[in-house]
Amino acid sequence: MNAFVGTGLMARLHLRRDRVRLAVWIVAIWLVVVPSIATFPGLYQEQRAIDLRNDLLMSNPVGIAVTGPGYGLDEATPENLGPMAVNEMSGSTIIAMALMGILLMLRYTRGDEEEGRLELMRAGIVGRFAPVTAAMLVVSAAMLVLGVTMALGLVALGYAAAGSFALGLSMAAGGIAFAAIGALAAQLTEHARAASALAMGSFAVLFFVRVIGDVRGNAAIWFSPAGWVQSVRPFADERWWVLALPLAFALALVGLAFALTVRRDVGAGLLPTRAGRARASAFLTRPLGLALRLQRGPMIWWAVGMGAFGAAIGGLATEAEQTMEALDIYAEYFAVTGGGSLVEQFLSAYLGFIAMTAIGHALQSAVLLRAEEGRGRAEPLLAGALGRGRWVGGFALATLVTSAVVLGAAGAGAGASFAAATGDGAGFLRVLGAMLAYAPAVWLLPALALALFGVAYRWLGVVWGGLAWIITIAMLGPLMGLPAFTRQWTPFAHTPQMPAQDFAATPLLVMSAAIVVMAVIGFVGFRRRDVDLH
Amino acid sequence: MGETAAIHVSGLVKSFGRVRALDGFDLSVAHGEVHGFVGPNGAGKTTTIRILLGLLRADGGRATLLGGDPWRDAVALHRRLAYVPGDVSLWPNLTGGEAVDVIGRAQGGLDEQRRAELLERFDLDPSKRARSYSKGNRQKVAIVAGLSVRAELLLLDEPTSGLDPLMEATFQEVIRERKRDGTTVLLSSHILAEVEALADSVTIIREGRAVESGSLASLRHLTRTAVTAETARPPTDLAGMPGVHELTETDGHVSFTVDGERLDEVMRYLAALGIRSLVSRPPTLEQLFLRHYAGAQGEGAP
Repeated sequence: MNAFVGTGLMARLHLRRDRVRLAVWIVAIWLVVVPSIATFPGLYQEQRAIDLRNDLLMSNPVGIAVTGPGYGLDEATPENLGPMAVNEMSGSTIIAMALMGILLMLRYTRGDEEEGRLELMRAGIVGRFAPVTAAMLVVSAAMLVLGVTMALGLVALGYAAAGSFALGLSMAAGGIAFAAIGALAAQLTEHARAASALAMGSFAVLFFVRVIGDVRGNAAIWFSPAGWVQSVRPFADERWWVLALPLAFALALVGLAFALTVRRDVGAGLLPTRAGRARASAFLTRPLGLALRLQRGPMIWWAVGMGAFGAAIGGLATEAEQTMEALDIYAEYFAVTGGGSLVEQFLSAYLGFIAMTAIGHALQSAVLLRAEEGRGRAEPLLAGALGRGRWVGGFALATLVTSAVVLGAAGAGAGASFAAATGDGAGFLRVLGAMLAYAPAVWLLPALALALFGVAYRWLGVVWGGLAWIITIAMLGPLMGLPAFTRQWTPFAHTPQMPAQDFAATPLLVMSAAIVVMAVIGFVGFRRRDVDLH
Repeated sequence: MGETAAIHVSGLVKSFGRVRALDGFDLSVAHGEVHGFVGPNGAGKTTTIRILLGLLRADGGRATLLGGDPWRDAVALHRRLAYVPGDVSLWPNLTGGEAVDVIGRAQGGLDEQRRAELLERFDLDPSKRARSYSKGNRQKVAIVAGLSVRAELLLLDEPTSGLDPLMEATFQEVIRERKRDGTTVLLSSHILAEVEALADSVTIIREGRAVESGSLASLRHLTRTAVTAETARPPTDLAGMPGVHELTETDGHVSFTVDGERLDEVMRYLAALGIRSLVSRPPTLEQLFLRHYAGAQGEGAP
């Protein structure tokens, strides 16, 4: 069919261009999943430890929310740790692979289109459906490579082959399904960033549908690819046919994306662009106004998503109280020490996770400076009477403001649902305040980004590694048996985990001072260097 | 040239890694003149302008702009100049009008009357989002923004790339008006007809060095005029005359090119033979340009 001509050409182009990027995604996720599972035999040498862990996590909604349904846990023994590996890792692996799928997909479709590269290809012998097909093929191949190598890794660790492959392939199928959501989102909006917000938002909703299904034990899990993936039941009488669901879902969405491709022009979104204002407001002509305007859309999406995330956590925390037992291992898992009720401890731990997610937004905002410079949009401004310091200052301030809004939305969501569930109106402000106390911890990496922008902008990508480190330490530090002192190497270990812990000003002031120092390095560095368009 | 040139550059050096983009480049632009800055892609035009704008720091040599140091005094100097880049990237979700205001404000503030007038003359719809603009329309945004600013000095880096001939003519009109107001203009371009139409003087850059610089008139003198003539008696001695090149003869018409300094001599000779018809084309900037770029076959000017 003519519409598919050039698919191979485009797929090879993506592979050639992104061989490093694809390899990094695959290796990074593999390195989190497989070594974590490798620690299990050491951690669970006795049946008692296994039963304790399973009772603990499966007896309350929060545990089920972060892990999964827990098929086959009843039969887990020191010789059969597979069901626990699945229970422990599948939730976070789905999140990682969904991000991988969505981001890569948007890069190859809407991203290319926005940069005008797609136009160049489509003007050649490249059919209408080729871009989406090629992107889907490349992403699916990457998912399969990751799934299969993951399975091989588990087999090498001594896990049963069938279960290992069921886990690896189900994760790959989930990644493919969420990549297809990205393919569809790319057709709907004109800009990659809006498309990514749309796709990520859809993922968050679908993941939450799975959480509801698992917590309430109802059929909601069948309305989410995340639920399907776990319903393959690796190491618990694998149900292979379920793998067909995410794949069929992906095919259906790709078909829909094809249909939309036909109905729109290259470069356009499905919705026609409206005419806008002919004049800029006085605020827009200032660097801060411009920076805020450029980030307004993503900020709103993030705030809505994080508000919903916060509300879910705030609600779940109170529900947890009814079923929770006071167990030492709990406190260790969430690493909250200090006073407060168990509900507060859970809430505190989760507010930390929410804040880590908010770093993702703050970094997206922080690296915008370099994007504006590299695309040549900064040049006409800096060639004017606008000093470099004021330009950088506007964007840096916009990062502070937008990430505070996102954090505030999450805190307000969590506080409101917490207050509603407990009937404690004052709880709203306590939770909101606890969330906002994470602001310095959230701003540290963006400040590092600013410093790098000034003195070593080629290394700006390092900040994403910093985020990966923070998440790894928080989620896996206790599980992977990392030395205790490494757990201190994250700003989150030093932020007071309220409401369980008391407020402490000193660590926040120290972090703020570090932020100021890095910002100054960024400002001074940028004023001394060349403006680089590449 | 006046005692203080608007732009004075000497021995400028700038390297990017192992590539030497500027290699001892010299440039002098007098107050109130339109100075053409000519060279092909990659010769160093944009690098020079970005150094003059304080966006890049030169590795060596001196550059003075309106009496100041382009790097140290960047902001103060930028209040007095306006800049139009040749490759404009706009914020996709802003409208053209908003982008004009944002850029114009950053460049020191728009003259409202000029802004309205230029939008009209360049036929630009300011309420459209930049995402939907063509290359030409994006270019117009930069032109309207840059030329709406009241500036003593205009730095224009291939400002008309992507414009249609009608808009190109409008652009030339506007530049002439600015020149009449006393604005100094540095016009980088590889559209030689545009430079020829606007510039008082020209600098030709090649591989990071100025290979030719001077008024357009004096440069013309250095090159050859093409002549086609029919004379009553055959010009038999023409082939042997110094300064005459590429001589051909068809049906009693002779065609040749002649060096500027020998033109007078040759014309006297032809006149003595009785001229029946004569067509002479003055040397174009293109010939001048090609002479410097034809490299080894420097004699092969058309």
